[in-house]
Amino acid sequence: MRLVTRTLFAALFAATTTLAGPLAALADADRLVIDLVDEPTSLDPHLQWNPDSYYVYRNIFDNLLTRDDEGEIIPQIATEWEQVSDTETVFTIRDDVTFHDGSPLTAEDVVYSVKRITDPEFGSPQLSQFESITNAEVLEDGRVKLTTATGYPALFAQLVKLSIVPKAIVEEMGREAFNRAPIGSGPYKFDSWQRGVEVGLVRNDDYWGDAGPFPAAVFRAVPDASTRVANLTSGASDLVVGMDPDLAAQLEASDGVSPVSALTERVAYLSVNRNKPGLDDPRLRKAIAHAIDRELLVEGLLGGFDNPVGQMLTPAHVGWIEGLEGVPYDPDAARALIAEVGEPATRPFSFATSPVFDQRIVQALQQMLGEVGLTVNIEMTDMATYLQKSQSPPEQAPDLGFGRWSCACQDADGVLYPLLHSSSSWSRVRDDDLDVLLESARSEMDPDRRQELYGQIHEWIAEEVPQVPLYQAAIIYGASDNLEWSPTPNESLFLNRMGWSE
Amino acid sequence: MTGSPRLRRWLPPRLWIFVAILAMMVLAALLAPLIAPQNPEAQNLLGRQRPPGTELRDITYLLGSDELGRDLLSRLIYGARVSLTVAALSVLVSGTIGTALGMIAAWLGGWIGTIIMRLVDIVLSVPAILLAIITVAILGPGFVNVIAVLAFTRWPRYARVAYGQTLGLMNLPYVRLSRFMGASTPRVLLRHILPNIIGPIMVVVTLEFGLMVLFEAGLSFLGLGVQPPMPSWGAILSTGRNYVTTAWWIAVFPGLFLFLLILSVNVLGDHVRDVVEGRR
Amino acid sequence: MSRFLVRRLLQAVVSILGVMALIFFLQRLSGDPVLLLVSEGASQQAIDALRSNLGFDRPMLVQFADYMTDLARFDLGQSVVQQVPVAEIIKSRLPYTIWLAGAALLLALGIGAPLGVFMAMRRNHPLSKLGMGFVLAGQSLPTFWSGVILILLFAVTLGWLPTSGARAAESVILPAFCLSLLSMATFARVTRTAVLDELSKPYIRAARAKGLSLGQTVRRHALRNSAIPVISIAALEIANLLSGAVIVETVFAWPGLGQLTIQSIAARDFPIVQAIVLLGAVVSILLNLAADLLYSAVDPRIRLEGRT
Repeated sequence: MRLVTRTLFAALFAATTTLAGPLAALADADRLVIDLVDEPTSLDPHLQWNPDSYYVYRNIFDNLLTRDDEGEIIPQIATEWEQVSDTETVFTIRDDVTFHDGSPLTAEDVVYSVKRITDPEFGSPQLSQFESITNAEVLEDGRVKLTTATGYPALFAQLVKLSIVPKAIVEEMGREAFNRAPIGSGPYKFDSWQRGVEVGLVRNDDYWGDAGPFPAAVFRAVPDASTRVANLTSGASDLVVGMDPDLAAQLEASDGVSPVSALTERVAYLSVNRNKPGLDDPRLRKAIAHAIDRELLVEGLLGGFDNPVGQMLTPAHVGWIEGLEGVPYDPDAARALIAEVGEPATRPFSFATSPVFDQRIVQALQQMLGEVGLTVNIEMTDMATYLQKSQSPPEQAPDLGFGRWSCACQDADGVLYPLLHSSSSWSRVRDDDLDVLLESARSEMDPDRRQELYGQIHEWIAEEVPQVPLYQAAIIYGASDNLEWSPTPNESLFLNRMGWSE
Repeated sequence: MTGSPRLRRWLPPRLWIFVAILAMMVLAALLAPLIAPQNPEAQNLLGRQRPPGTELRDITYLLGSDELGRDLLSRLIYGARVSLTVAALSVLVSGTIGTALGMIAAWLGGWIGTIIMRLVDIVLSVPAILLAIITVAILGPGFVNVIAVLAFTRWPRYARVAYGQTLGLMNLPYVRLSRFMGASTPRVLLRHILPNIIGPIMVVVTLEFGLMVLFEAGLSFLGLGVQPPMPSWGAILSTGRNYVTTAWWIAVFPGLFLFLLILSVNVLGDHVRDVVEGRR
Repeated sequence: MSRFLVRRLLQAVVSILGVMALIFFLQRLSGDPVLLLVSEGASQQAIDALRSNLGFDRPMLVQFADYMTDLARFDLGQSVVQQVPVAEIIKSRLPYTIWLAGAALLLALGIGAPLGVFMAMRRNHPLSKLGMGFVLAGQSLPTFWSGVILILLFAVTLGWLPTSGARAAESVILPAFCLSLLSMATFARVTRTAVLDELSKPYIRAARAKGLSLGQTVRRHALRNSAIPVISIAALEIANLLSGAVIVETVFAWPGLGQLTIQSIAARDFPIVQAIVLLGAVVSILLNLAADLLYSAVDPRIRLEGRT
């Protein structure tokens, strides 16, 4: 017993003596300070898929391909590529790239990166994005060949998220050490990581491309949005993430800072569970679609930052069809349909949401549905529970749900297949004809024919209303007026595309 | 009546203002449907964040409108209802359960007593807010669940006090006598023990009431409070934080009301403690 | 005395085991972290692969047995989300929380206790009413609100102090003050009671009779004797401060355990939550024990056997 007490006291003592440690030196003027919501959970680019992580690691690692500021897919590690058949593509690899330790980046590293992220044993959260790749090999001429199971036109859109890791270093360091001190080939080098506080990067002066003007950059974790605003306005940070339109208004009213926004490839929608009593009647689902006034949501609540859409996609997606309006706002038609449905429409409907979403939108939707005579109860649970509920069998899932979908691929397949195909756990639709459409659209290599197929799917959605598309979400940052930067739809913070004004 | 020296001694005039504040809040909560000028949930997306006194489509927003164009005054009046009910019910439930279990543990002793008091230790040893967060995350937020969670995390406070007090009373001659005369356990506990421990329990109640209002606000801040669009002062305040510089009224009025409520409860609680502890 | 200690510690171990089991199963009832980790629209194969990779496909009892076995070897496991050892994460966050809670305790004591002494000596002085009003007011504000006001006033408008984070030594001032408001009133009140208690004792009366002034009496005799109840309440207040730190750390982006708690629960990072609960339980039980021992050290009449 004495031993236990002694150990406990020793532990307490050790804890207190480290007290002097945490207080680091003050900021200097040469570095860019960015406030994220949370710290990155991991800096191994294959191990983590959340914005706070990839905001940081996309600066440490290069991707096989990338998108320019206009959203076009352009070369990065691969200089050119050639589609040798529907299922095979050959990539030429840049030969002047070195990792931060000085070793050259080779075709071997590219193949290793593909194999690592697609290995089910490795357990990458991104596995699904690259599942279609069945093989990667180095050809005799030093180029890399990727093979997919079927034709897969979205492959290039996925490869902009394939970070290239150094094979020799990863194998030597092991998973845990690499996660702690990652080595990549990107414009910034990993410098330091104070857990819970900040991650520091320094510029890679040997970068093959443009490394940008900042000698150093710091990403800090600031969970509370009001505090991030305070940091920005007081000059403690240069760029903050996670603003909403009302906070943006606050920034506009302050000197020296402004909101900076871009329309993303995230589509906000209201899901309607067609397996629940009442909602199994297509007329009621249609009525719900008629009840929603997207324009009012965007203009009245979202300050015009976002963009109303009538299809389950955004203009940033392949598969978006210009001019397709979807179900129009028509509350009278909604009321008429609800009257036709009669008794099954009178029960209260549950409406699932989570604190991470904008609760103003959810409450406004509730009010709009209430105005046409439906009783809707908001059920807000934290994200883990929300996801678990939405993944439960369709008969037990909530009646309605608010969602914001991003496949980070700007391709219709990444949105419509998981949300509508009967094999997907995210989908509440079980329809054989639709499945066939989705499958052929996924692998159709002729762009025009593919567009046509997605057109049919959009029509099916407007008719059957498994979801009501709402708006193309904007992402709003707060930035110091000294910072010059235009954000892109893919929600990335590429430091080498930012600069100081003057 | 107001000048009666007994009342003055029992409740000095400097405290009347706090009693009045509390009484007004309770009244507002009870009469909410009668005195609220608007439906607290009716939105007007084209009339958001209007300053106090704005008139819009025949509606006067006395305290301004909130982030969805709802009348802030009406939301605050209904919010009084929600905040006070949550606090009162959670104190009532946890107080009843805690007191009962504490008395039983002391009276019966033995293994039942040990189990109850170890349970008290277990619940007390996890930081209350942590336990509340985990439980709400599992049960899901909502009016009833918030009360359940607060009651579940707070009953041990009462159990401890009731246990200690009951132990002290058990060997008093009249308690032993009534036991000897054949009174049943519930009868002894209710008739002889409870009236004698109610003072110290009331002290805990006054302390806890203010805390419960704060806890509910904290849960709202973390997104785990009552479900929107139901208004509670904590919920209004935690959204209002984002508007401190652009629409101060959404942040200031609920903050002020919450502050006055807890302050009144704390000041009066302080007084109750002085009276119970017999120190003037 | 030592028998009492042994029994209390044994019971504490049982309580802690109970807490650990409770939290272990409660958490797992509320979903697993896999769905939060995978990219949106991940296929069922990808979800299953990650789930089995993290070991969540095994029966819950097996997971619990594994966890407890590791724990018996002082291994807190690996963070599900960050994929580094839990002990390392806790170690990096703990100093900040100790630092914050310690500073808050000092502030609460440093302001609350003198105020209490003053109130005991000059009960009807306007300053003592004003002081009590101030600390009671401080206790009546939700920290998530007072925190924002403090930031806007002292950091943004006046620019005296850093807005958030823990970059400089003065960063601790605002969050610590915000947190200390929660217990300042308690200290003021306990100190007042303790000093009044002492002042009513015969030896004080004797001292006064010998011609010592009230101030001298308090300084020479009453203060030392009334310090003990204040210190033992301090032990209990630490638990309150740690609990209040959850929200204060979130508002001020203070990288301590409180913030980690919220993040880990939201992310369903089970091993971290488990470790925090374990730490919290151990600290709270030790503090309770310390408070009991202190009481008995001061006042031998308190027999430890009778207390629970």
